[in-house]
Amino acid sequence: MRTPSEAAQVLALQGVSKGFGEGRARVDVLRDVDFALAEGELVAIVGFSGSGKTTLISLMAGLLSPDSGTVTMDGAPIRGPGPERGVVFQSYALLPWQTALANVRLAVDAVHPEWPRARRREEAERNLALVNLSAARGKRPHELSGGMRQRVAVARALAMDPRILLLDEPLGALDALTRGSLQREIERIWQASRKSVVLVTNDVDEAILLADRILPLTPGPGARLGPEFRVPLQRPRERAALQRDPTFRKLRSEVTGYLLALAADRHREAPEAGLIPPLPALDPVDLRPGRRGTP
Amino acid sequence: MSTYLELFRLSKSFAAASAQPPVVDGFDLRIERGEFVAIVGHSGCGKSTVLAMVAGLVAPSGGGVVLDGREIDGPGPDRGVVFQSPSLLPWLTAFENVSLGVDRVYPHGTRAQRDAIATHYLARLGLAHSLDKPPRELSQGERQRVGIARALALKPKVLLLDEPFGMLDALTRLELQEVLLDVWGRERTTALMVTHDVDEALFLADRIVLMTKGPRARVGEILTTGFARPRVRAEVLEHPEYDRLRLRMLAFLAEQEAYAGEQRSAA
Repeated sequence: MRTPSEAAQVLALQGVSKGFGEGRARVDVLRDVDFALAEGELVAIVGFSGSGKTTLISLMAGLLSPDSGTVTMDGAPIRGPGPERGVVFQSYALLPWQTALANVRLAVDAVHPEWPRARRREEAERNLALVNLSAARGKRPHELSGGMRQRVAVARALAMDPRILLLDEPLGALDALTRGSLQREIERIWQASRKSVVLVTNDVDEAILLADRILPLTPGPGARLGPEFRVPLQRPRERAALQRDPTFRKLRSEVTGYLLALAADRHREAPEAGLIPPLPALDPVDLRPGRRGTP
Repeated sequence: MSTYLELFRLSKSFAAASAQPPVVDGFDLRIERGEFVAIVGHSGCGKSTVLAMVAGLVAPSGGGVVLDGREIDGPGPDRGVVFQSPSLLPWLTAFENVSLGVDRVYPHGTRAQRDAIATHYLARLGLAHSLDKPPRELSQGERQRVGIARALALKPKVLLLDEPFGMLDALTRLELQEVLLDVWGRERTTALMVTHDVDEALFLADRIVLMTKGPRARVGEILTTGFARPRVRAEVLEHPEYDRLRLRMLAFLAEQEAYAGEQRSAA
């Protein structure tokens, strides 16, 4: 496990703010976000839905540009999307009329147009095999389960051989069982390829299972990254065994505790301001036919 | 304490006469006043059907439900229901959605009293600043808060919760579990909840009813959680009983899965 200070920073955000809308309808989604990703590191960003996680990953991908602050890769500003950053979205975003293999092949063709056809095909096959989908190479997305579609999306991102993988709630749409098996696969692929990974999720267990560090995103508007939680657990990590590991439990309780405390602040009751009127001493009436009247 | 809500040999067949075995068959359960009971089982086992029969939304094929000494023969405001999807009226504000029921069950109160009831429950659920917002301006978690306020504002004899947090993300689910426990703890309305989330059941309920896999689903086993109230999640998770109960639940669910598999291959 390396930290940004010990290893080269591949990706950095400094003082990044981003909002949408104009005038009174304007919403500040992110305010003053600082972030650094070290080479080979897997960092999880955890937050509630609607707190700005997708905005954050889109800034890293170059799909959005910040209102203020800088997003840099190897010290140079990011000016748009590029093959050195592979993105996987929750919604898969596959081309429905193309087979699994053709969807992956598209990425290879885009990044390596100079390769001969046979080599490009081989590369697409190799990446599909990485996610255990060789047998489904000829199937179209509608013939695949949610988990299989998400594997195709992961294979497509890997096929560009990016230095950074940006995963935006990649497992959010999947049931618990499929999620478990894909989590194992993500860890395996990450260990084999040693890519730098940013994983965005609302699942604290998933973050602890996969990440070197966890950064909580505070509830928006004006979301920021909270204090870092390091994950000092040996790899590979086994979900069932972790449930009983005191370090895992402590970490889970700290991270969820931190986020839930922030959420509670957001909806804080304000009895002192008289916002909770006392309940009048009234009992409901019996509404059954023929029984109207106070009880 | 005596029984407040009784489910007596409850059965339900959806298929026309004897074509298929009943979904639920001989479901017996007695709940005391102020108890929080969770029904846990595989998806499709008939949990929601049991709850719908208590709600009076589905008529039982056999057996019956008695609440506070009276047999249930249809839906009514003495049972507040919270569904997985809050089903709010999109053209009304949060306040108006809650007022709709409040105005019906407190016709003898003054306007000011009825408004105070709706406001009270919305504020208890953390929505004091969102009374006038329509559902589209609320997050999914906030909409479900309105759904819970709407149910509780009727001061029901029993609160029926059908996977109330099933559509929420993992963190919001934890958040709303605590919000629900907080507001429930003030009045201790008798509550019956259906969930497939083992940890949710352990955190919220006094007793957990493990349901066998359908068809002919019934009560398989009942576990009692002894965690002190008001509950603090960290303490519940660290309680020595927590792991034992959790493993027992998982083992029961796995046994049911295996048994259903054998039945299928035997058929």
